[in-house]
Amino acid sequence: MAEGFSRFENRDLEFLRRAVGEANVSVEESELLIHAIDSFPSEWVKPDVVVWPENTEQVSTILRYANERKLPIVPRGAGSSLAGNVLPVQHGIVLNFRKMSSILKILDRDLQVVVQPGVVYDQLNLKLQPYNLVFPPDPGSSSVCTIGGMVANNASGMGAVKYGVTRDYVLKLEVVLPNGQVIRSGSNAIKSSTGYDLVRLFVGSEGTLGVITEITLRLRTLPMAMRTAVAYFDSVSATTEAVSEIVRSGIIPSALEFLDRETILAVNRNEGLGLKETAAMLLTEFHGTEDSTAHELESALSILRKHGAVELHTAKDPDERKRLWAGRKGAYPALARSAPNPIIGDVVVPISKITEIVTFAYETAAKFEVKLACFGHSGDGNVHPVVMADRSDKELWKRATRAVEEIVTYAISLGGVASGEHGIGVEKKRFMQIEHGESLELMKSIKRLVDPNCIMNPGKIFDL
Amino acid sequence: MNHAADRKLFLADLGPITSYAKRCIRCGFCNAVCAESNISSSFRESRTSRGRMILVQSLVEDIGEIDPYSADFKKLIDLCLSCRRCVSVCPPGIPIPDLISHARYAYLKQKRWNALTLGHRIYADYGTFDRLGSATAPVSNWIMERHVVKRLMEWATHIDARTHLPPFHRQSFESWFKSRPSTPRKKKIVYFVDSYANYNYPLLAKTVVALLEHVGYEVIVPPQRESGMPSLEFGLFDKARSLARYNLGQLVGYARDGTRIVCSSLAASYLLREGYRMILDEPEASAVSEAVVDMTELLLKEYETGALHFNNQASRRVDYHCCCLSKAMSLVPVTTKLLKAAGLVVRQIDECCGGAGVWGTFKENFEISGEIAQKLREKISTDTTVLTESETCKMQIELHTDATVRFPLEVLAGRVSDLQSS
Repeated sequence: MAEGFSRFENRDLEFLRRAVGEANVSVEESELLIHAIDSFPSEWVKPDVVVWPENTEQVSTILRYANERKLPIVPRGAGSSLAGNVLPVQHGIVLNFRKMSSILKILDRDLQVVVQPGVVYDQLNLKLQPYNLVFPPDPGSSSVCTIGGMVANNASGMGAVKYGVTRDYVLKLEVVLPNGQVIRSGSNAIKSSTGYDLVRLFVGSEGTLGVITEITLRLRTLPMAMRTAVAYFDSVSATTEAVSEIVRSGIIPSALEFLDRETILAVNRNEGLGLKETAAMLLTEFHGTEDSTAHELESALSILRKHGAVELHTAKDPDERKRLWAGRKGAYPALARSAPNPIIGDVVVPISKITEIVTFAYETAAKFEVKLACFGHSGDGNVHPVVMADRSDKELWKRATRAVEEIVTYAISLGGVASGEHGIGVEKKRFMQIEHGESLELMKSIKRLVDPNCIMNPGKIFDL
Repeated sequence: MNHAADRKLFLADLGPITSYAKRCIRCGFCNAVCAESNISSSFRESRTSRGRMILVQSLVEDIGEIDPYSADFKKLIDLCLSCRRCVSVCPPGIPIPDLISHARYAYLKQKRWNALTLGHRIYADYGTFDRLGSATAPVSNWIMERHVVKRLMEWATHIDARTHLPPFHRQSFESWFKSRPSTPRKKKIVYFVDSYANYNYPLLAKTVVALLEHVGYEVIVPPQRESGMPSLEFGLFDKARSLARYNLGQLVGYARDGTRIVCSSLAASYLLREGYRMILDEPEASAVSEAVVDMTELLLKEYETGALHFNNQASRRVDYHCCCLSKAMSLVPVTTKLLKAAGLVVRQIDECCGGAGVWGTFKENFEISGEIAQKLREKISTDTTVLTESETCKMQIELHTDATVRFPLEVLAGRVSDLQSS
């Protein structure tokens, strides 16, 4: 047991069983193992117990007790996190929110929805569809990730360039603080200038400050029209320059996705889509009215041509749109099959620096003799350099992790960040000091103030 | 407790497919499409698809204390419906249901038959029981419908008393087919009938023959045994291999001569195409696999080349239940296109019925199966006919809804111009 935490005892188990009912508590080996890991390739650490709370009161009771007993608490949504964000590195209690997964209220006239943390992203949007509403951040794990996990991680995806990230949509939160106190922060108002923005503090805090038990999200209406195009380029720099100009031109794409040659090759190998195997591919999409999307697409196409696109395809109908998207959607599965344990980077740089970071990533891969592919959301400068690795080959694993480290450090030096949407977890803690400098101390002070016993998701974001 | 020796043995029996378990990235995408993972009683992660994968991964990585020969572990891996929906969404492309079948095989290899209920043994030998049931029908049907027999069966076999197994038909398709004169034609095709259309519902097989002959084929029905899906899913690979070898032996000559093999049963289509190849690394399995065509694929081709015409019956709305195996074999668009060509207004129902072959008939699974079927029940309209290609999906939908359920082939046949009924 780590210093500062208590050993989990039988009396703790008895307490939890009384608090939430026996069926909602497990110390079975199978459950402990499944909750010992997430989607990040790491060491497995079993929690002491897994609990499925059913309401805020139960969460409050558990936190109050855990705080008194100094037992670690790890809130967990779908466990699809990519940076070890929900690893119970100090063991303790994992709170699984599968039983708190209701859509509580759809306020369609206000374009808002109130949900419990365990609601799955795609399921929410399916329920919102009849109201012509959507919660748009659209992470790659949309079929499984929970709204609670998205908020805790400030997740986003392909639509961020137009629609922003999860943080832009969270209006109000109900949070259980480590001492069991339940607070409600934020409001149903779209704007506010009333004091510190605690909602924005909790968003992206990765469960280190409290447990989010209710979320009010603002929504958008579904677009009336969509237009999609794919362009191929002979060089990465031509692609990124085209991206930069599109963004600066005033037209706002809802997606501006980039795939490099290695990714294109992997997609073709995996799915036989017959993508043109050029240096890079760019997918762009516009949402709006028939007229606005037609105009925006035409403007984008002329920019793409100007920057030397060697081939252009536009979707004439929804089926063709689906086909154009297939290449981009196939990137992650294809790369996941390209190595036993690929390490997926998540850096963000200013748009003008995309060429630089991608070039640096290739050079670094060559230096460490590892294979690398790059894809990402170029419209917002978010690049996913994927280093092909294998944990069972210790020497290769070491070179791969060092390559990732150098790429992330360089991205920060360009004015970027270590993570755009995957969070810090345990994986990127070492970059926090480099990225945040002296402000990291203030973050730590906030953590100590809110969670003096440091029971909340210990070992994540930074070490105290 | 350390189970190191047991794990070593288990992994050795699991065989080369073990390497796939290492590749699981635990993304959980499989959970999103797994019907069993999405019902409220499966709130525990160990009851989900990803949960099972992580447990197998823990064995491979030698982490934790899972005993692969424990009843608890077997119970968890037995929750997999083998529906194959997960395969198409898994980023690293892991054949999850195959891995689970291999885990069941590895378990049974050491535990032997003791680990199986009588119901498993009956289903594994369903060809024999179907032959027996058909030979003694209608007495066998009368007996099987008695409540007391059902209760007794439940006690002895673990097959839930609420299950309605399909009745047997006195005259099998096989005997009917042998009794009719054959008309030699230039185009020949082999029909792999499988047990259900042979002994339970020969009308389906007769319809297939009528359709094939209508588009100009001479139909050959070589000797055959049941395709063996339950054996494969239960992990009874020795039994499954023996059935596979027999059937492949009967079919491979035709396949090598370039004669196509048509199936009207989804399970048969799947096994001849993929399932047998999974358990038999033999050239016969590959040769037959390449020659197999599903009846819907064949009909669509005949329609598109102008050999098949539909009559001008009034348009009618149908609910098409896209069953899991049909999705796994990419047959949903094929059937949909055919039904639309025949003038039907098709509404696809994507929800899993929860039957999963015979899985849902076991008393341990019956309630879960019903919970899965609930989502389907909510989608189905009461005033339309439900179509499904799968025999067991038909059985399950009839059990859990009031809908009239028919096979697409039957409905299509009713709309084919000038079809000579058999």
